[in-house]
Amino acid sequence: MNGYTGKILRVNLTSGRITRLDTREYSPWGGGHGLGSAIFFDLVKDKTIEGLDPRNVITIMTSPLTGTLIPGAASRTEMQGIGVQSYPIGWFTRSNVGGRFGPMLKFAGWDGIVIEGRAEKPVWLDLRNDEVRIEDARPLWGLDTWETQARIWKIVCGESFGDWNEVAGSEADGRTTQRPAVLAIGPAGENLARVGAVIHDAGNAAGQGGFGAVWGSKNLKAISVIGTGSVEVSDPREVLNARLWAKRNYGLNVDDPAALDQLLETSVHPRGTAVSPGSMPAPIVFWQWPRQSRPQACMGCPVGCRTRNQSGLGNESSCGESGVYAMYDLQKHSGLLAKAMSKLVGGMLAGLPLDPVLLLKGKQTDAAFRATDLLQKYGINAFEFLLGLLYLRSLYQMKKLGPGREIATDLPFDKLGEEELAEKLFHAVAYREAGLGDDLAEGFYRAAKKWGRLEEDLNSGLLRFAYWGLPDHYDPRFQLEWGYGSILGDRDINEHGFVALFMIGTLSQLLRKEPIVTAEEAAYLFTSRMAPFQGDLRMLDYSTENMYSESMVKLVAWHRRYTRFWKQSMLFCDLLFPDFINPAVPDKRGMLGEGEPRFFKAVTGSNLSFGDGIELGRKIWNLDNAIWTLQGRHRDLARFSPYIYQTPFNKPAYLPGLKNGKWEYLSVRGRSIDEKKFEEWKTRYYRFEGWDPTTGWPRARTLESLGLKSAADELKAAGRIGREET
Amino acid sequence: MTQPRGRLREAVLANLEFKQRLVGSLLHPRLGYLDIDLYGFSEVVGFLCKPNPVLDLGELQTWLFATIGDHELAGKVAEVDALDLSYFEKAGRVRDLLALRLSQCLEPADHEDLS
Repeated sequence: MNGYTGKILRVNLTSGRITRLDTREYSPWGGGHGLGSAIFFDLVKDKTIEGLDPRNVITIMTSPLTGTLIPGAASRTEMQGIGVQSYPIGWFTRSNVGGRFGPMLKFAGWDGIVIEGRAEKPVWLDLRNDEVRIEDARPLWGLDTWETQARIWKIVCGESFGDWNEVAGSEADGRTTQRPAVLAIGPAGENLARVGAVIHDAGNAAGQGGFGAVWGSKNLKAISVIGTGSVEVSDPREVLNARLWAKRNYGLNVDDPAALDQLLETSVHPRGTAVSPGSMPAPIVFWQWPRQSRPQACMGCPVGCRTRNQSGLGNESSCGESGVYAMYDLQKHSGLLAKAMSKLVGGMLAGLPLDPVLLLKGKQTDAAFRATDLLQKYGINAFEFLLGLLYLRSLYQMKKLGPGREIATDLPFDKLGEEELAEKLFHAVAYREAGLGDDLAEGFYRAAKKWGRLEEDLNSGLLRFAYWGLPDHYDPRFQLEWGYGSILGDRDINEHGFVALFMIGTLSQLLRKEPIVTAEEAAYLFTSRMAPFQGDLRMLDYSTENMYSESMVKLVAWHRRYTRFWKQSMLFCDLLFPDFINPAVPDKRGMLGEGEPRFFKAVTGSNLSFGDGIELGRKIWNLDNAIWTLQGRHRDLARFSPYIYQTPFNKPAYLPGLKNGKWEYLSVRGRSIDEKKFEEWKTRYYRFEGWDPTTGWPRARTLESLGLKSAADELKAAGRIGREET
Repeated sequence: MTQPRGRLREAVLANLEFKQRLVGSLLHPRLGYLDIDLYGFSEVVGFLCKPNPVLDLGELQTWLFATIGDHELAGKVAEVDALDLSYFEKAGRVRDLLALRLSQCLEPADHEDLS
């Protein structure tokens, strides 16, 4: 069982019973998501329950690679269960958190945690190696996520951070200098806000799905874990060699200015980068990057895509959460911007160009950082608010929202961009204050429905929530595999494996520079390794003529399978994998297909091939679809919001495609998804997967061929099995 | 550019209504496009200072002409748009033009030095 600790913690909060599952029973599923889906399927007898039902089961799973030195796969933790955020049904869903919780769980000797039932009063779980206690969380209830973690750190290791601590009261039980890794909910989760997230450390969030509310419904405030063990690996030398191989061959050379330029122009991310202060690539943030900062990485990760800042603000937050308030801060303080410009205008009149870096001085305040910190502390899903605030601003400007208006609120939206509004708004949401706060705690989609605006705003695209009542991300009208994968699944997939195609194609056009690979080279680079469909170049043909084709079926099927196993079960980070295309390599051929099985074998000793993993991903995807079907899924529900069908996408977007038999980065601007043709495409997809195209339900023959007879039996009993093809 | 006065200066410094807004988009590898509503001239300048700002320069010309009433600046932007340059090079030049216009409209009190 190299890579595994061999046991999964099972806690029933209703009875207080603490037991174990043998990992061996579930290890054929690999880890992470596969384990979680299989355990959920076995333990939840009635899949039609809602997320806040005490019978809902939450799984928190690691992978065999967690806690090892495998780059980009050492730190992530997969959380699953029935969520409360999606619409019209809270699907069985997933979220994922980085940081150090997963590794610490492994060091304590656990492959995962299963939470069942509902505690009578607020509790938190205290895991110290093998020792597990259900503790009274009433003193913690009401605290924000940061206060909760700090309080637990003190309870577990006193004031002596950084000193050697005995983990379970005696030296024999192990000592460590580390503080516990804690997952915690804030007031939003306690108050059952559907936008409630689970937070770890300063800026790691399991945000999608509304798991904060699910935890809140179970009276579960936090899980703390500290461990002094380690992960047994099959071949320690090969683990190190594989890590160094990845770094030397695929990592960005931060001492090479040309490599950095290429990175900035292609936005293809570095692999295995050696990071040191002053030489790191820019962190992935939307706000003005604080220069007085250090890179911050999840445990074991060689990249460090976030920062810890001298100001103490915005620590560890990155990506979308850093963008929630940054633009409003900028806009609100454009008076400062004007002053900065006035200082520079003399130089400009003398023929000098304005320096945008200088121009940035004085226009961003601390409000952007503080607003994001508030989201993390209250335990609110930042991504929902990234697009949600845009919607609220529109409603305010339309004079629909405000004091005495159609959507009445006294919140000072004239102060959008200032900390005051962020504090009042997020507080109102977290505490479900009557009116706007309570409405938004239900999520923007349900709020718009309550306000009677949903149909109009989804038609116009004012509310950019594209699928399942959830915010748009990469737009389905151009990034096809993203949109199709999301609507066939349970959530915004948030998987960036193919977006390099869009970035390379679009940036090369907007910059008028040669792309680092031609469209034809990209088609070969990608499809040659997409087993078992390798060789079908048209999987990469994003042209409007090809967007409903059998090849597009294969692209989506491959993506669902790859991510279900290698990313969500082996828990390779989305920032680094799949490494299709890599600017650090002369032929641009990333480590995809070679890296994943090499890392897996080094840790586990297993000869699982890349293709074996893809096939396991297919099995997991099928089990997930069986669960959604039992929940009430039918193909008629799998529809985008109207604006995706009705409104052409109107921004520059270039993707590989065939035009007159030649590969080009084609403009796909001006297209929408044709609803009728997309329904025909769904039929093709369901057939391809061996599902009933009239319903989208799995067929028994398909499930049984995958070793999922129990799923087939349960679907038959529920009268929701797909009809076999005659 | 000529020194703007009166109604033009007021229009450059004004906050706009919903229907008068301009929509820009930030191009970002993690998001694709993030739309930003721009409710005034200075917001457009601020937007153009961000990395990878995407704004339809034709729409911008129409907006400057019809909403702001700055025919001179609309013409200057059209001249830039006609140049044989990449989009981002054009966007940078347009940003500088708009920044210059905004600075012309500021009161002396706004011209304080930043420390």
